Amino acid sequence: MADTTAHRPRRLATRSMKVLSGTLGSVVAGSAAYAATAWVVGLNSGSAGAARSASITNLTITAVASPGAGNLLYPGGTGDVVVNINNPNPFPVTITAVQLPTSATYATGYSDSALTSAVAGCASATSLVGWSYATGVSGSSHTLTTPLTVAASTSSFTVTLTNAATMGSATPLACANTYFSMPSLTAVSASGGAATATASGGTDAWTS
Amino acid sequence: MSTRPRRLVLVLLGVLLPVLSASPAGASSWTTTLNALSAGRAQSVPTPSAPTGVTATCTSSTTKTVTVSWAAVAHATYAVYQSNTTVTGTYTVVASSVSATSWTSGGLSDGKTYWYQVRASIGSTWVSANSASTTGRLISKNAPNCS
Repeated sequence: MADTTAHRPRRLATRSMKVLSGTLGSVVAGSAAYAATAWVVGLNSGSAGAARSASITNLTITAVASPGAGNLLYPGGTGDVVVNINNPNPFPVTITAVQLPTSATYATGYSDSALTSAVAGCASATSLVGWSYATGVSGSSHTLTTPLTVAASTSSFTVTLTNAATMGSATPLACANTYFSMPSLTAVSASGGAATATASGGTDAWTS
Repeated sequence: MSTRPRRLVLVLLGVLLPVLSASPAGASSWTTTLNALSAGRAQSVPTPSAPTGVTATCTSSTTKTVTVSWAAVAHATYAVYQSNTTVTGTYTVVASSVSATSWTSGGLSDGKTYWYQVRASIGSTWVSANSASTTGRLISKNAPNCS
């Protein structure tokens, strides 16, 4: 009896270590899965996706006033799109593809680079400025030439998407010398986990 | 003494479980829509400028043709306008959708002087003003036929 009482703490400690070992194993396994997990990431916090994984905060993709686009749009041609990506997550996110709205979803024209003063006659109903390679179906997926890895907790990652915008040949004259707020992407495909961050200020594209 | 290991486990679980729950490992894939602010910025070129450096030259000393040349305007095609009355007369289009930066007329009429202007356009609606007029070229039935 005395022996049994004397060994109880040791047995408890042994059992505790087993539980702890299992817990740590779960952490390791979870980390491995974390590195390999891929998502199609959206930005609407009310989405079902956000509810499934509260730990993944959605990215935001916005227009920026600078730098300026290198290739400018013209009727019947294509031009660059400059975007800013905000990754509020405490881990890097690698974007591999974008999902586009339909080819009939057009940008609004503005007279200033900050996109605050709309241009009369160059509204989204008439500008004919949309995303390159968009189709008649919303959500078509287009793989980036080079995956973009946005470092953890980054709010000012800028990338120029080369020739990502297209302008119709019948775009009205009011849209000349104009800045465009591109239509919202419907989603982006991304993966999370350790990866070398892409340098901000570079270029990327999709070609089909 | 007997409760210390159990307390240790509880403390560790208290630390580790939030980590586990915060891991995205459980989310293999998910799809949502982007919010309305998601976008980028593009920019368009200005309205094309009127072509510059427009000249009209006699194609040869014997043919009754004139070649009109001008400096390129980015992304543009061109239309060539002609007057055979005066430099300030009415100009009518004699060639359109010209992608090169020169154009040669057909055989012109004897005894008339011809002036030219060029207009640049991008797409169907972005059109420049007409260029300045060229020097007039006189067509003659005597050699040289064009001067």
